[in-house]
Order: sequence, then structure tokens, then C-alpha cells
Amino acid sequence: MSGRPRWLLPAFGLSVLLAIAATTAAVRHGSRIGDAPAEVEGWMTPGYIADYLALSPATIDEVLGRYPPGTTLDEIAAASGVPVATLVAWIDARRGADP
Amino acid sequence: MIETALGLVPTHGGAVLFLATFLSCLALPIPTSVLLLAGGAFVATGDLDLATVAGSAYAGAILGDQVGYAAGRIGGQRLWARLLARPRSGPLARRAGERLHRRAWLTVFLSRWLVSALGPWVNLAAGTTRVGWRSYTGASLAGEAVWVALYVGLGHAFGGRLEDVGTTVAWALIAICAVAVAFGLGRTLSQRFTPAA
Repeated sequence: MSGRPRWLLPAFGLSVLLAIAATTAAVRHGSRIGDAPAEVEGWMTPGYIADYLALSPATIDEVLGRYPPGTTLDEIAAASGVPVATLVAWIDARRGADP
Repeated sequence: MIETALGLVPTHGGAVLFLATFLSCLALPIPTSVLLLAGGAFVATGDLDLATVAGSAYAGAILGDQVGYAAGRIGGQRLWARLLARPRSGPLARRAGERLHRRAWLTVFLSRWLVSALGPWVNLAAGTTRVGWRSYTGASLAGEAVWVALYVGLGHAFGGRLEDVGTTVAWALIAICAVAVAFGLGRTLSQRFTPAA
């Protein structure tokens, strides 16, 4: 035991506590994936929104129209002249539309 | 700010991911992990293709590592020599340098993805203490491949829930690091407690 630095035992204790806390947090967050209500945002693309809300791409296309891959909701709003909030409301109205 | 950055991924694709990984290797505070997750998610939705996302993120990270290493190698020498010459910091710096050299490959490899916050500093330290370029580059190539594959893969699989997945992965990586540190300290403690024969 000779020459054992004084910080070694507290550091070991702290690392064990951190390991337990981080594992608990990882498991807790992991088990809650998808529990929070899905909110559509302007950076999302129609394809992403379809995946996010478990809607078919055809349903999203019906609401927004067809755009090239990589077009975001913000860009669709700018191109169509319809505010993002209105597009989101239209999409929200179709939630649960697909079986 | 994160929403703006996420919005750039589908519209500018590879260029944004290249720039993000490159700059994050130089210690700039960029939410690169979330952007990589988003890149994977946009691959899954057909907005981007996998080769562009993975290739540009990987290229940016490798180039960023090389710039960091070169900066240490060229610019860090004088500072390192001064640290070594000081009576108080000299022995400590020498020991740290020796340890880095002994485990250079593993240190560089793990600091690419497991403890990625240390990555830029390991780049500088590796260059400054003259870790061999071949060994450094080999570990950088392998580690960045794991980093890109891990985050793009998770984004592809769980794309709809970027923030949840990002938080879970971050905690899981912290847990792995803490377990590794606890294991190392525990081993040192047990060796020191073992009475000499």
C-alpha cells in the first residue's frame, strides 16, 4: 500500500458514481426514445416528416405537393408563400391518417 | 442555432458535413454528432445518398486531424521544449509524452469516437511530442471510420428521433469512459493494496 496517492481512492469512487449515473441516464433516455410528442420543424424535409410521423410519403405529398429530395419545410414555405406554421398545421391535421 | 445547422444538411449535404467534421477536429464547438445523425436520417429518407454523407464527413475529419497534427508538429515544438525545460512541469510533461508514445495508436483511435471531446487536443499533443505520422494516421483513419459509421448508422436507424438518440449515445459513451477509468483506477488500487511477497 506504500506510496498510494491520496487522490486515488476518491477518484475511483467518483468514477464508479459517474459510471452508475451515466449508465442510468443512458438506459432512461434510451427507453424513452419516441415517447415525447413529435413536433414538425422547418428544417425537416417531406421524407423526414413522413418517417417522423409514421405517415406514407404519398400522404405528405398530398399536403405539401412534390418537391425534389433535400427540400426543407422552410424552403417549401418560401416557394409556396404559405407560412411554415400553416404547413405544420396542415400536416398535423393528417396525423394518424395512415394505418 | 441547431435547427439552422440541421436545415443546412439536406440542402447542402456533403459540404456542410465536410466542414463540420473538419472544424470540430480543430476544437471548434460544432454539434457535429447531431449533424452526422441527421446525415444518416436524410440518407434513410432518400434526401441524401450514403456515399456523399459518409465520404464527406470522413474526408473532413481526416483532413482536420492532419491539420491538427501538423499544427502541433510545426507550432508546438517551442512550447514543448519550454515545458520540458521547466523544473516543475518538466518531469510531468516528459512522463505524459512517454505515455502518449507508448499508447499512441490506442489513444488516437479512442479519442476519435469514444472520448471525441479530447480529439483535437490529442492531435496537437501527438504532433508536438512527435508521435510517428504513420502510426498517428493509421489510428486516425480507423477511429474516424468508427465515428462516422456509428453516428451515420444510428441516424439511419433512428433518424426520426435525433435528439433522443444523440442524448442516449452521449450518455452511453460517458458511461463506457467512466467504467474504463474506474476499472483502471481499481486495478491500480488493488495492486497498491497487495502486500509485497
